[in-house]
Amino acid sequence: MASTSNSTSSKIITLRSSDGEVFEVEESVALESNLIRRMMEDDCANNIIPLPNVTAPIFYLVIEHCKKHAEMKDNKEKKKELRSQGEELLKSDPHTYSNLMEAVNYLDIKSLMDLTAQWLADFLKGKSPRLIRELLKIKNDFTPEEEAEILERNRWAFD
Amino acid sequence: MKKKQGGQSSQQGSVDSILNLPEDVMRYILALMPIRDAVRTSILSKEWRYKWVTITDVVFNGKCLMAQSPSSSAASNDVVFNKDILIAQRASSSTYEAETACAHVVDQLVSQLIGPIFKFSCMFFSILSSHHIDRWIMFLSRNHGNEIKEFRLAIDIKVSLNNRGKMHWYNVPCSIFYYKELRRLELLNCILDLPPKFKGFHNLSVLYLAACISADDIERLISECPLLEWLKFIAFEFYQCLNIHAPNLRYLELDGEFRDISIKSSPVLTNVSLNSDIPPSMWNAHGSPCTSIQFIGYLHGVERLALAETFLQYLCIDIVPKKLSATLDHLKYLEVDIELNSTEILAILCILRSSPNLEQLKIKYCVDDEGTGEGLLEEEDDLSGEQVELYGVKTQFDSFLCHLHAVEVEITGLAMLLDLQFIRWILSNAPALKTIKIYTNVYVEAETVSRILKELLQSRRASPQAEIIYLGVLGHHEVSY
Repeated sequence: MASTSNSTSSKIITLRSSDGEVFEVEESVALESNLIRRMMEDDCANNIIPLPNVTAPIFYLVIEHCKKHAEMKDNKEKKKELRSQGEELLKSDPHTYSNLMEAVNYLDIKSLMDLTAQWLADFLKGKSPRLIRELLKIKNDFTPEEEAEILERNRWAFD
Repeated sequence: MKKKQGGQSSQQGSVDSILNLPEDVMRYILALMPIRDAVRTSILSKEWRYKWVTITDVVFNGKCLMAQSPSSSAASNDVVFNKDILIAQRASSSTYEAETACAHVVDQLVSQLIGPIFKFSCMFFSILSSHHIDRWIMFLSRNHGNEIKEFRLAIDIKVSLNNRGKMHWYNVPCSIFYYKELRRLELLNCILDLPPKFKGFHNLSVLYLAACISADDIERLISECPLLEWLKFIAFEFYQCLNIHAPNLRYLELDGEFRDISIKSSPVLTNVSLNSDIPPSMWNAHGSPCTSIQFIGYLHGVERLALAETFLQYLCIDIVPKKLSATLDHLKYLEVDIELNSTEILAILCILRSSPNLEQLKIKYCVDDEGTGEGLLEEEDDLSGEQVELYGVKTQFDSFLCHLHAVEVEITGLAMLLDLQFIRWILSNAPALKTIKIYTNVYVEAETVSRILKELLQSRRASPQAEIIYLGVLGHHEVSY
């Protein structure tokens, strides 16, 4: 049970992931999601809110990062730390990253959208194409001729 | 949060999973990267080949074209791209070739984009002739004139200097004034002529100009932007009078020579910064009395006010009144640069007397090269009657410093006796003062610093909790005295 004793006064929202798992989340956290906010405004508040596009492990990650994000608000150090965590996740598990990114997009959580998008932007920045391919499991399907043509087209970017 | 079932562990795919991200998410991510890195994704795979061409922001600065970014060389494991391909700019021998290569990059890039362009930003190219910029502005007018929201252009001043050493500014084509959807416009180091048919920027909220523009044109430009919230104007010419009509203005920063400034109906204006790096003595012959001090009196809602460089001297050209025409009830933060010392203090006092709720005061002493000499110490002899009263024993203080809790003093050059007296006067008159923070620059000797601190520590304090903190040399905090 993650809802802590000091926040017992806040309302609890019940959500169900696509794989049938049920989550109880504090209202303040759940309302970070514009999708859930809209659903609640449409009066689903007393029922279990279904999230057909999000699996339990990914939803767990989303909640975790929502909480971290709330904690770091005015803390530069924590902000930096959170921003740097993307590198690790993208290196070890790009699949989970893209699931997380998709869930954040679906749930429409602005703060996490900024964070997770920045993760990939930072990750791609300054890495050689070969390294990016290797880490993200991208298959280079260009012929050498095609590759040369692309390099020629935007030479300045590949120096 | 309660977890009632065990979840499946995420499957690690063996294929490129990033590719499945929705298109708008991908565009959003690419927009967060420098344009060079976005273009580089085209080499990853066929699927990635044209992802970047949907970007809507074209952001270049001189540096990103001219040199390899240090991060890319550090992280690069890929020999192919470093060994064999020579960048055109680097290989070129003449400035002309380098310039052409640079311009070519921008041309090539925009020709590959397939979507709308919302943002075009070209900052500080060091070697670009105006016809290239003309071409881009025309291109944007023709193809993206109804959608572009942000346009930023900064010409390097070095380019603006022609070979005779005379300033030669870039003349901005008037088609830019027909970008109807602009939210933000920045034009630095240009000449601007407003076309007679200019209909206004109805959505513009940010305007930053460093330009040669006539008084009529700048006034008309500002008044034709009804939603303008943020205005910074660095004027290259002398203005007898600048009338600002901007009902939604929140932030105003003016830099240059303005004999008079008048502002009508800006009820939400809260942040004002006025700078000038030319002492008024250089144009004192312009006749009619200066109304700058009255102007400050009109800023009823201002919360933060900064008077930088020599601007304070403008306030002192005529007789400084004891109080402003109105009370600045909302002023919480005041920042002033003091250059010549004594008379400027009268202007500060005038503002202080009119700002009953001031909480923070920052004073920066900027002493120019001549000012650093011993001579300034003698200024004490020229004190007016009011100053004598101010520094004297019989200082009469009303309630005007009662909310002041933080003072910052930045001392550059020699710390003068008179300055110290002003700070001592604040110490002995501000009952709620918590801190006085002091910085110095590298030219202030350790001996002087310890003398200042000693004198201040011995001064009488109206607030028992007032602390004097020396924060060392500005920008060199590792140096401690």
